[in-house]
Amino acid sequence: MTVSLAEQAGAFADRLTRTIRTIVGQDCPAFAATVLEEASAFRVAQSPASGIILSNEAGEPILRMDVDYKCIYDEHDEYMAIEESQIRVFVEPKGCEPLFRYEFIRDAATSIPSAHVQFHGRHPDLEQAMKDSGSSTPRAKARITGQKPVSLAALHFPVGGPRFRPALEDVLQMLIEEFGVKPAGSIKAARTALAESREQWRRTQVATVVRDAPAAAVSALEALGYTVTAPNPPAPEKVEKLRAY
Amino acid sequence: MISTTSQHKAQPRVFTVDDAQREIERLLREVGMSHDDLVTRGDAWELDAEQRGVLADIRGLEFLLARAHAAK
Repeated sequence: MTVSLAEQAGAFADRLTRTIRTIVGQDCPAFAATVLEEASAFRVAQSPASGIILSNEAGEPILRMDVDYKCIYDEHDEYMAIEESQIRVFVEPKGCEPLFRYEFIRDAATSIPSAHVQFHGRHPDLEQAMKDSGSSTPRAKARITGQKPVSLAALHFPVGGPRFRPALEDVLQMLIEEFGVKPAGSIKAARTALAESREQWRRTQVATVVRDAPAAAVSALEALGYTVTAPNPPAPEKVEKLRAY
Repeated sequence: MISTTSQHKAQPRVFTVDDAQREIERLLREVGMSHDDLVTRGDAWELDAEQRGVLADIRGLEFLLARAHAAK
């Protein structure tokens, strides 16, 4: 039975709420889903969307993270697919420009990686390198001619493409490990909870990747001793997903 | 542990196209800026957290509206 878009939206919001509350605490605002039936799409973000405040061991706010997902039905109108996602981290209390942001754009322009991270800040050597860059692509050329900004934040660093991109759990754990964000419980419990949630996400991605490359999946299973019977005709390969930047 | 977290059940807000357009107007009144001003200041990273949240809500609704119009 096909699960309705509203039900899928609610379930996705619940999963995010459980993950974030495990780390930040039960007082953390829940994720909420907004559905427009005519659009066959929904959006999931925190409500209010001003972000999640992350604190240090003294309970002082040090960072703010906002998380936003825009979702559609997949090509079979059966399962949700993330069309765009955004995880941005700001300094608290008054940060206006992000420190960095992880973004995913399913149908990104060919010159931008669909999953990317952008760092904000100054890096004079890097900016000079951007000004001195080659002109082999319109994007690089536009920087030389001043049509595109020359700044660290304008660079899109690729992070795994549409299938192997980092999840919210990865960003949360990095904030704990690198910035000393204090989770609601112990560090050990937070690592375990994030690992469990990450496993769930990656199992979903594994299933998706198998649908992208069924022949590779069959080879791997046969090497493990499984016997796999292919349907007739066999499931098509989604080469474009495997090649996506 | 996830198993110790109380279960939260989100009730999705289901909008019609008209609802979504009215909500955008309400959000703009709430933030006290024109749409263009909010977007310009957002692109320049001049908004505080609450204002960024309003802009994100508006962009979310505009995404849904664009999808609805494309589906017609």
